[in-house]
Amino acid sequence: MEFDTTVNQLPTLTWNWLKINRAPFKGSADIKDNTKPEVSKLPAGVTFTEESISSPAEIATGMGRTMDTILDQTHAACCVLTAEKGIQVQKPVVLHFALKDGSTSFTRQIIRAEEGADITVIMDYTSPAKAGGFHAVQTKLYAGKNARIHLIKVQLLGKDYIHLDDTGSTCDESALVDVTQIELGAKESYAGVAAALPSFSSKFKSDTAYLCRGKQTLDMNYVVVHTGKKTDCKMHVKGTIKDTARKTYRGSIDFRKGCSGSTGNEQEETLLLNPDVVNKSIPLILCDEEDVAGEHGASIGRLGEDVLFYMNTRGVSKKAAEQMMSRAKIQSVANLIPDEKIIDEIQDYMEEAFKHD
Amino acid sequence: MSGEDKTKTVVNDIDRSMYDFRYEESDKDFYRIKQGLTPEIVTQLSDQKQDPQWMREFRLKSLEIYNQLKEPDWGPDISGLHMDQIATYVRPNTKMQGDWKNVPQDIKDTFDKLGIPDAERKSLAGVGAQYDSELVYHNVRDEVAKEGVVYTDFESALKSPEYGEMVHTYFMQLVKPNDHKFAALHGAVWSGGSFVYVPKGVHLSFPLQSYFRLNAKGAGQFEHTLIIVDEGADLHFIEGCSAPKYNVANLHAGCVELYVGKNAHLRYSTIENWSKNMYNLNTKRARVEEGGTIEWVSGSFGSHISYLYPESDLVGEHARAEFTGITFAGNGQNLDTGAKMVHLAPHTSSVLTTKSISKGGGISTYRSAVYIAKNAKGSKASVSCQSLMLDSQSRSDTVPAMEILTDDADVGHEAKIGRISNEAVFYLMSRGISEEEARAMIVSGFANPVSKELPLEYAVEMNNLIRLEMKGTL
Repeated sequence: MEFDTTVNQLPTLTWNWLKINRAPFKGSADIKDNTKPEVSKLPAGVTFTEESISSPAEIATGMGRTMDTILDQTHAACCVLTAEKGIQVQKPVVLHFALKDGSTSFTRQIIRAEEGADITVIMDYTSPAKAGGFHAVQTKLYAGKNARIHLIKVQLLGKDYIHLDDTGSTCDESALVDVTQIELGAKESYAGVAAALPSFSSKFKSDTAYLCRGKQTLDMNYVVVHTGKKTDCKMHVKGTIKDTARKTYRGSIDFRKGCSGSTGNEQEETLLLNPDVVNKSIPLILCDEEDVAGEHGASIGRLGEDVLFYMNTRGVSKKAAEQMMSRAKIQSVANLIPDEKIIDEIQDYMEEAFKHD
Repeated sequence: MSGEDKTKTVVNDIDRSMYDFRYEESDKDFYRIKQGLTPEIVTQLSDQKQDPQWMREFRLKSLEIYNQLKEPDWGPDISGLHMDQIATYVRPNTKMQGDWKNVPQDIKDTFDKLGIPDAERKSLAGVGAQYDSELVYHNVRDEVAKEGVVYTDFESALKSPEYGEMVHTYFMQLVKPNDHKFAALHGAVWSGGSFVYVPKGVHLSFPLQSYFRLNAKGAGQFEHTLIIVDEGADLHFIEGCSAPKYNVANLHAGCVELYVGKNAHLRYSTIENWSKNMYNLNTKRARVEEGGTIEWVSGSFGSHISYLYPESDLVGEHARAEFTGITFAGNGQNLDTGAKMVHLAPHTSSVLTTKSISKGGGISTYRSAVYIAKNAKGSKASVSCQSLMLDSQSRSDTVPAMEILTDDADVGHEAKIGRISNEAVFYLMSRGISEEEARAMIVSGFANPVSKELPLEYAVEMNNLIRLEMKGTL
């Protein structure tokens, strides 16, 4: 299958010379296998089924309609994970994607938490370190009234992988969707997250960490649309760019008319470690309602002189200090994952990444 | 505080009566080129202006570029602008005067009413006044001229044996016609504007000011401002613009090119108050050499549609740019404003501070770009934008982009959108200040970082423009 399209489009366009309005996506991928996830033991009240259905079109995703089209054309299998009404799942459900070298796969999931349910789902993607391949995944979330979904996505793919990870969610009254995303591997990685907050007091929270190194490209698009009253979003993204890597972050808070009493906050921290890195950021606030409070902040640059001085006085070299701060950014997000094994995998992956520095 | 209890500040629309007046004019007072945009019209314009050959060719080439380029696919809708309904050149039947007494009475009355001669007497080193497509008055104080400062209308500079070559060298080199469609349009039909040259080491203690008035209905104004501030020199230039309101579209597509030399300093202040039928598609750009500083102070109050983003190209080491701007979008306005900071040399720095207020269905968009090139090591950029929404019919967007191509840079960005905080009102009221006064203080405080940067008389004008009336509860 040939691709010549765009993904991750901004909800409002800006100057074309910045080349930030959308990400071009070109390439080809022949479906050799559709790697199904290994699913951990399901707790009581949680069901997992595989269905030949399209994912619900009414839930928009961060990468845009292009991904729906790609997944429809490739007849991607759809898994449906449902937490029944009122179920409080203590242990996370893990969907582990063990991808092989040369694998090409397209998958999608629907995660539903019915009224009052609380579920954590971890999706982690791994492959051999030097592996290449193509992996496209789309996850749509529906959180019922007072429900909570914590979705954790950890990408630890091999250095030649192309990875598209698309997420969309919607919430009923007082529901919370919480997305934790860690992006460490792959040659090209595209991540899109869209959250709709149409209901009273519904909430969205995201914490994203990345390490972008070598010749990696990481392209992200986060969009939260507030239409319900007293809705709230918090988006934090932090990471490190080194070597000749390129990272683009688009983050949009969209306050639509009628979402009175809503709040939104978006923060970005980017550590730049080499003279050849490329960083693009565009944090948008779109506001069509008076009674809201929206904020965003960004801090982009190398390690501060004061931090470096402090480290040096304690005998820590510049290189070690940079590694330490890079690890700390990832670790602070990894600590949100309630699974020691996956945290260890992340740490091992980082060790390997910094080993040759 | 429940939703029902919330109080709200009522901010009146800008009082435009001092700008919307116009004196009746007859066709015999003006030469008006026919509407539309064709090679014939552009050639006719060149004939009227007795352009040198290179300028004739430049105009026609720009027209070709204009026809090739597309309208922007971002920003406010400009489908209501039809170039075939715009007269690109309207010349009052008077020559440019150096003595105010000789300016025709109706034009004089217009500028008198806007306070231009009074401002000249009190606090300016020189004044230029453009009426429609041509300057009708230009004067510079003798002591300023003696220091070698050149402040003249653009046509005179173009044809002058002394400065013609300089104009040829610099004209539309910073903003090239292929930059965007309306830069090309400007290249094709520009008329009027000012040329300023401040020689090495000269510091002007009083500002120069150009005032642009577009009085004609269904017309365009395309003035070109070229300012060269040589090494170590210092200048404050003020630009004001207004127009009466018509029920058809008017167009302003001016161009400002500023060259700031080594260790030179230029402050460029603008109060833009076009009428609400105006499409303001203006382009401003500064090139700053080593150790030089450009400071932009910008108030955008008028226009139906605005696209305005002054750009600072920091090409010399330790060059610096500051942009301080306020935008007030009221009923029927869609103002897309901001700035671009382009760091192209090491140790450059930029500070971008903007405020915007939206009310009565007005749309205000803050749009910016901070670009730090690979070789701009040790550069710093700081961006702060705040938006105040005064009702739910209005809209306010912030679209700030940052592109950083080196690790040795420090970029900070913060933005806030919201309404007048009830907590702040409560705090002030608890100190014995009335609610109305508290709200007025908050809005004035919001605009203050910009108004304090303006020359006094402009700060007063801005405060008049944002006339605040606190009217109790919702």
